Amino acid sequence: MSNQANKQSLDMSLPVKLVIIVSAVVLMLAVVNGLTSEKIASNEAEKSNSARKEIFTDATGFSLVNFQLTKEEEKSVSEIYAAEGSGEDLLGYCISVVGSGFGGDISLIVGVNLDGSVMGVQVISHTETPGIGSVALDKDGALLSQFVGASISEVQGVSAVSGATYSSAGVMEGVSVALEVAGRLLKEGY
Amino acid sequence: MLNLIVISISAILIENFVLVKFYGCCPFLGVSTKSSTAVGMGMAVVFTMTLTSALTYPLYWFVLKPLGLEYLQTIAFIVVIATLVQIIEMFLQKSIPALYSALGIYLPLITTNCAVLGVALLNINKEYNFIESVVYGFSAGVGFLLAIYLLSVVRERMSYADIPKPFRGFPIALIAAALLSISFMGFQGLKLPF
Amino acid sequence: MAEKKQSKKNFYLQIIKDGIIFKNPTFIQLLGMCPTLAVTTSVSNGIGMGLSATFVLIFSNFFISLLRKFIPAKIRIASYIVIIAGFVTVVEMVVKAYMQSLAESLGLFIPLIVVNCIILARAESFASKNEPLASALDGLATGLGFTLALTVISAIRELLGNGTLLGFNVMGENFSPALLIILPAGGFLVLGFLIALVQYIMQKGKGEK
Repeated sequence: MSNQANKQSLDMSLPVKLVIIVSAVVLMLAVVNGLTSEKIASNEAEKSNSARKEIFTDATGFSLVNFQLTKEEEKSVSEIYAAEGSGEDLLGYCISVVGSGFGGDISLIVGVNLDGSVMGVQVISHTETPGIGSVALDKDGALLSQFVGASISEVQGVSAVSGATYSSAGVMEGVSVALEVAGRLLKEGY
Repeated sequence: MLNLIVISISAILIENFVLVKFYGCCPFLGVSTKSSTAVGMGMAVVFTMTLTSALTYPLYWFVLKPLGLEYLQTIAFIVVIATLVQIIEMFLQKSIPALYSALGIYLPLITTNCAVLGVALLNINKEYNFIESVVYGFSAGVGFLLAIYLLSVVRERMSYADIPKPFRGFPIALIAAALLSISFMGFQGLKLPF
Repeated sequence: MAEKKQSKKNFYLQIIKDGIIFKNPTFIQLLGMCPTLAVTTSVSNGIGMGLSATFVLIFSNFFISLLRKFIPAKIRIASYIVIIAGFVTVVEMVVKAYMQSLAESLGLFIPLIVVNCIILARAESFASKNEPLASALDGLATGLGFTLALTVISAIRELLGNGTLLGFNVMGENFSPALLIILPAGGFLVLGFLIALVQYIMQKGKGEK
């Protein structure tokens, strides 16, 4: 009888001890999260922000644009920012898009001028094969520099990097979508 | 529907969990000496990965995210996986003893199979919905099953070969895996027509 | 008394030698293969992964050893995993906050340190039986052994596959890199040959004796 009671209390102690361990660990994580979460959030915002600044070097600020996208566009376009100059005048738009490359998605920010041509293209993240597909995404490389100044009809004429056809096509796809969205944006006047 | 087929084919072939993404290499190399055990392990993984995907989806989107506790996802998921494996083990032992004796010894190993935790985290990363998550979990498991079965068949054959002494065991298995991985590279860049 | 001190010192020395060389987690014990293969495409990634795992190993070993009498045997694995997952999440948050580029290149493999078999193996086979201090030392030594292995593998892969070392071009302009080596297949290949080399050295050592 007493033996049975003993067993009962033993079994009860297992979950209690586990709960103690779990709550101690969770407490520790809550503390560390409190210390790092702001920094992590600002890091992420900083990355896209610095990419936008590299495209529009004269801009003093960027503000989020709320624009009605079509269902098709929503799949690839995530954010649109308006680049503003010193007098709060509009310089152009920065459009975050994804194109599909060889190994997965390529996230880009495409800067578009007020005349609807490309101001610059920045690669945010990609999973292309290092040394092969990634060559097409090199900063100031053969592909990305071709887009500067291109209008929507000229994008298809951009020549792909040899050996990186899929990656190049992924970037072209992203840029075309961005230019299409920007064209509508400019027409409807935001 | 097409979307689900694309997810499934990429998880099995194009981005094979083991040979391209390196999730679950420990059991892949550790229990692939015989094809029968390899298939047993693979089946157990398919089963656990599908259930894990189904359980972690509501846990993240309906509990952790609304409460702002996203940073607890790793710990919550691993607890779910460990518990799930334990429950599956007890359930099989009681109700399907035949299956238990076939899979039994592999089940505890699955808790530390990074493919299982990996698929749970990837489902969240890729923002898949519930059905997509389950399909992705199942297909990634099938990808693992395929890879471990192929390697085990190669290793069974190799056990008859006269391999240079330093290469026996692990090293030759790794080289066989390298050749498998090269052949799976052929699937990359496979553009599905939809 | 002096003798006891001496033996303790030897014990510590043994832990360090075992962890880094004689029981190297990667080359001898063949544990933790996923991160070993996946992140060794560049030296900086390899070292980053190695040190993150070392940090987790030291703390998880220390705390598991401290709690070894409190944790009931029946639920020890679950308790270990919870403790390990806690420290891994700490590493994940710190790396994301202060080493963003490392966080991006290691990606999911940071949270996956939780299921790195090296850590659970050290908890089960060492920390649950030894003093906290010795356990922390064991964590450090094993972690450094892991880091060493990752550094060697990633140095070979980066040098042959990309012609660079730590991002610096060392092979000259005319070197055309063997891209295969940094692709997934190359990971299996390089590790296979390295382990064969280790086995060759060990067999030779035994034969001469």
